Amino acid sequence: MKKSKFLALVLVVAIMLMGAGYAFWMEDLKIYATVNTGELAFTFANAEFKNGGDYVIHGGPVANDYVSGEVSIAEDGALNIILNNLHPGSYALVKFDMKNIGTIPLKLTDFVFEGENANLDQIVVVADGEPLSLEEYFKTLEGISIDVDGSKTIELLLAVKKCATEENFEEKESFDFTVKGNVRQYNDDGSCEVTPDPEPEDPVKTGLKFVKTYECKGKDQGHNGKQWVEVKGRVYYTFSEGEDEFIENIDTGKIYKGKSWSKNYDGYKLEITYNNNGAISW
Amino acid sequence: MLKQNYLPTRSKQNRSLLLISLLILIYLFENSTVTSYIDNFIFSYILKPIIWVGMVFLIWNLPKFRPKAKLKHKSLLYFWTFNFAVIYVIITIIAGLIDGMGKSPYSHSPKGIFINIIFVGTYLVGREFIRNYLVHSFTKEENYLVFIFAALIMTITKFPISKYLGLNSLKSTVMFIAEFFAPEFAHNIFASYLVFLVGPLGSIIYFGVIQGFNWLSPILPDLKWITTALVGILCPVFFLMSLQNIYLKITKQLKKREEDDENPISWAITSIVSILIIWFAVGVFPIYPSVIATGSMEPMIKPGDVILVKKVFNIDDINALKVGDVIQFKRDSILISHRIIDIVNNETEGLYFKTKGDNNDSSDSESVKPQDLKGTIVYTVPKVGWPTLFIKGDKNIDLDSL
Repeated sequence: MKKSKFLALVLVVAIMLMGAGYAFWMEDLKIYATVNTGELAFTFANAEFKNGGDYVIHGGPVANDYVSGEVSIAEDGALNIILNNLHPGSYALVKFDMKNIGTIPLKLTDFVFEGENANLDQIVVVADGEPLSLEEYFKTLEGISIDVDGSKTIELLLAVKKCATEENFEEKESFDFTVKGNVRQYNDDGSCEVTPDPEPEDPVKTGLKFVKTYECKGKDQGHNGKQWVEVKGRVYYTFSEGEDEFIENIDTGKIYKGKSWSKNYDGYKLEITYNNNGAISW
Repeated sequence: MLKQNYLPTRSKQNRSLLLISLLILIYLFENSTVTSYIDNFIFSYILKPIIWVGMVFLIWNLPKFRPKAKLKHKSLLYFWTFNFAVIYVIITIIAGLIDGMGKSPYSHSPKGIFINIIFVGTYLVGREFIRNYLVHSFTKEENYLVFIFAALIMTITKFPISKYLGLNSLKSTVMFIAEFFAPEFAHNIFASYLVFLVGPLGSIIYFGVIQGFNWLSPILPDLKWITTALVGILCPVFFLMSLQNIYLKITKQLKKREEDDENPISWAITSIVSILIIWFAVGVFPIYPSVIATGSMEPMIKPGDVILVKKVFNIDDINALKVGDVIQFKRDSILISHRIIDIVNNETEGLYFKTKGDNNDSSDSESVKPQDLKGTIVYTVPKVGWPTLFIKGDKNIDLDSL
């Protein structure tokens, strides 16, 4: 019995010393902060219908009350244009801003048009005197970069082709279409490189709560039923349990909840949400 | 009574060495690069169980040992072993209610559970058979050197080699020992005693209940490493002493006088209280004591008083501070406790606090930044700090800075 007591005493003293170590190493104040990832966000803004009427080639546009219009911004930032009482040779002047409301510079990649009206082909945009189809015109806007909180103002002179006939264009037509802009990060050339973000400490130690997005090094690969990604030399496994998703740091064996796996152009993004003690959160 | 030193026969020695070698071989194989050529599922869930079943089969065919306890006592000892395992699970759950719980990462589908039972079960049974053979090969009587030896081998082979190689600082080493190695070692000491007393079934019951909870429970305690150390080390040691006590009582080897001396519960209480006192003093808990050396905060706090400081943990605690609060902060290598007289937060310099001792004529020359903060004073205990001041009296501190 005495030997077991001695062993017990040794272990108790060891526990006391561990406590001293814990107090010493954990004494630093941890600044808990919520660090948000850079947000890519684009919207059309300040849209207005300026005027409309008959379009005269040799002079300037003539204002009249025939063509009326309405422009608005949808909830998702798309630009909606409604033009009424169009006829061949009429025009509409529409003004809007293209705005960066995110936290990182962006670049416009392409535009998507949505509208049921088949007369889209008969609408041209007059830019520098040259008529371009809507699609051709917006193509010239592709590649424009906009800084954070920056915007670019566009004035669109939309005109109906004079050769628009009854067959391909109905008069007094109400014309409704929506434009959406697609963007990517300004310095993203489509390759999948590791971004120079500072590597966070193991959240179990620091207790940081944050969402961090990493550009992955290489694409995901399946491995024994689990996807994995390498980020700055660390390998993370991802797996699902029911509806929940987890990632596992194979160096430490710690498992975190809230992995988000999203495709981004040619590569992948790994978003990790850590809660305050690094455990799988409720 | 004549104590006999039990010496293993040559054949038992050889067999023990063979088993230890096999155990080490399996361990090295698991940690080698060879496994990367094998499909993970096949290796983990088919090959490994086959290896462990093979070990059980091998040991089963060796000459068997009779455990120490008589047959009539075994059922009671099994019963207590089961109880101890359940107590351990309950204690970890209670600790988890304090430190935090988390969702289990393990599969709880019927297929997942079945596979896990095979995977964990074969590993558990195989290792306990090895432990049983080792312990009984080297001793017939209670021999703590043998128990420690067996526990060491089983503990070392529990963790992957990469875990040991990843220890690159004192801090990481201590944390590894506290959170993983020492608790596992303590469990293994108890398990070695169990196999000595009742054979492999005892340790299988013990680990089986604990592992069963670990793998099958949908929620698990997520303990700080120091809590894991406390619970993981103390519990098995307490169980060991208790089981010893129970065994000595049922075999009537314990005299009444000794029974009172050897009460494991009183030992456990004494140990826990001692640990908690030491931990409180060194600052493990959110509130810690600190002795005041000067009169800069008189009349509220006098030299020799002990203040209780509530730690500031995060930005929310810092933002909750207001003018008039008495805070403790670090300057150079000393702790100073003064009152906040102003809080400044601007874009160029960030957040900082202006402080002043109540008994000082002017405010402190240097402002206090958040990273210097230790905590706020919540209570003052008069005069009890004089012995500490007396012991530390020869240290020279620049009193002007206070």
